[in-house]
Amino acid sequence: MSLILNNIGRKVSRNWIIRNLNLRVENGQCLALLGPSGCGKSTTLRLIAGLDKPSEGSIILNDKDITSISPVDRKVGMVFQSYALFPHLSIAENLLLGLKIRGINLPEQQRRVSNILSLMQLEGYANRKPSDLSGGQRQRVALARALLREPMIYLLDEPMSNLDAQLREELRTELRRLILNKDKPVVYVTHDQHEAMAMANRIAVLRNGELEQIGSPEDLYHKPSSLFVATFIGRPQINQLTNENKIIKAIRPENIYLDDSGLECKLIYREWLGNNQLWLLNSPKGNLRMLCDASLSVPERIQISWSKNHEHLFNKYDGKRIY
Amino acid sequence: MNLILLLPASCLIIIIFGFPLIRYTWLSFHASTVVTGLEPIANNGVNWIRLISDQRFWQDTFQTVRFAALSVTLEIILALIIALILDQRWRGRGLVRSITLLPWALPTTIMALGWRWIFNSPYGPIEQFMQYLNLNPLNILSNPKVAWLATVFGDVWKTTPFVAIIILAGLQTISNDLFEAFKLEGGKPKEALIEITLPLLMPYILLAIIFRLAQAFGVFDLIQIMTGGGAS
Repeated sequence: MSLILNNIGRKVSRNWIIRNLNLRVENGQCLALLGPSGCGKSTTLRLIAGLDKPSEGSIILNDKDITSISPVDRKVGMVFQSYALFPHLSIAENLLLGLKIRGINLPEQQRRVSNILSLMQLEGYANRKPSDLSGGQRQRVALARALLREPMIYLLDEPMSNLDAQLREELRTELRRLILNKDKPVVYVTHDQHEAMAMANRIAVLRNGELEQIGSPEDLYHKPSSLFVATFIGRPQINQLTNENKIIKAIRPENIYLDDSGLECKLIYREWLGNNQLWLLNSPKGNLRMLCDASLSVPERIQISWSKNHEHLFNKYDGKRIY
Repeated sequence: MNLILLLPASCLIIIIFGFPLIRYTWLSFHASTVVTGLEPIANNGVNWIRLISDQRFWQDTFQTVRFAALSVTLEIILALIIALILDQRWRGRGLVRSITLLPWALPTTIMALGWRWIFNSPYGPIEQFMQYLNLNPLNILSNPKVAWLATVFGDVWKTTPFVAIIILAGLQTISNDLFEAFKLEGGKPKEALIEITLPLLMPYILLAIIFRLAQAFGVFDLIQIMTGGGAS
């Protein structure tokens, strides 16, 4: 039981928004589609939902070709970035609407809605309008609606990008509890690498409509297949060493340490991060970010080094990984 | 404090609306003519009694209400259909949107003259067509039973675009996500119109109704030019 995208492409007028995309998500797995805006991640989600039609390729859900099946019959539980709650209906009516359309009998409608409201800790809000709720509460209503759909697959389009940092952490827990444990494929679109690493089993990094790399968060962090992935995954951002030859050397800020026999640098600024600190250093090889322990004090002479194993090498011209 | 801030605006409203309203109400219970030396003299509501017992007053009121109700109803229905069509994506939509507004941009006098010519008997195109078919002339504008419908026709033609633009503006505030969410829930386009579009358009439709009723109750130029006041 799984979702498979076979060589999916979508062309609008003459431009390919997505091309040659092959993905596979097993039941109970969460795949994050990660990339900058315009990379085609939302389009991919819309293709899976059936809201847009692919120009080529096929979509297989549980061994059935759903490429030309209507959105309704695909049974997808989708959470929109804007939540897409109906502003003129109360929370309860918002949740009831779908059940009503699908012809579920009245007592059953009421039972399911009151169950989901208590699951979401929204009991007191049944008769409120969406505009009376906070962003986090609206997001929970949107999740509740997706759950009530009893979908074959969950599609989340930037579900947290309109929420503040603290709420995001709370909702992550909620998402894990409610959706990631459902034994259904989950596709999670985000532009936030941190969120992708936290939520997904596997991450697909998209760039200009094509798949740049797909793998576990650890793979992407330790073995980025291109400079693009290396700079997109991991914060603070990876350092790129200026080099004369055809190779770009990159080293993560957390792999740099003080070493009496190392490269001599000047401190430009320190950034206090609480449990650690970030130093921006000026070295003969360009500016470098170094992430170190919060207790470390700045020595008189700063000399840094890193292990050869932590170096990532990329081709200067196409950005592909060399080693 | 809040009330103090409201004071300047309140003063203006009282001077412009409040004072004349009270003054006229007061005057309506008085006689003030050359005979009275232009001094208002209380006359125990004789003005009002004359108004209420005047056959023409009731007839005119009836005419006005009938005109306003029919034309505004037709305008809302037509404008809703036009707005829904103009909201869809199709080739040349921008051009059609601009053309749709033209009737509204015309001065009422000009367009009323136009309609008077179209409905003219016996030289207007409609009567010419009736002659061509060897049918009796309709005498549209001189027959009180039909003339008022001709004025409704002219009013609807002119102001439907205005209502359509208001409703179109409302339509464009509705996020497409709502329709897609509805579709994913299994809703059909026809159900979306009833469950989402119309309820969310209500504020805009009400606004259009208020604007249009206010204008329709005060309509004068259109009727005067098309029928010379003969519609009543």
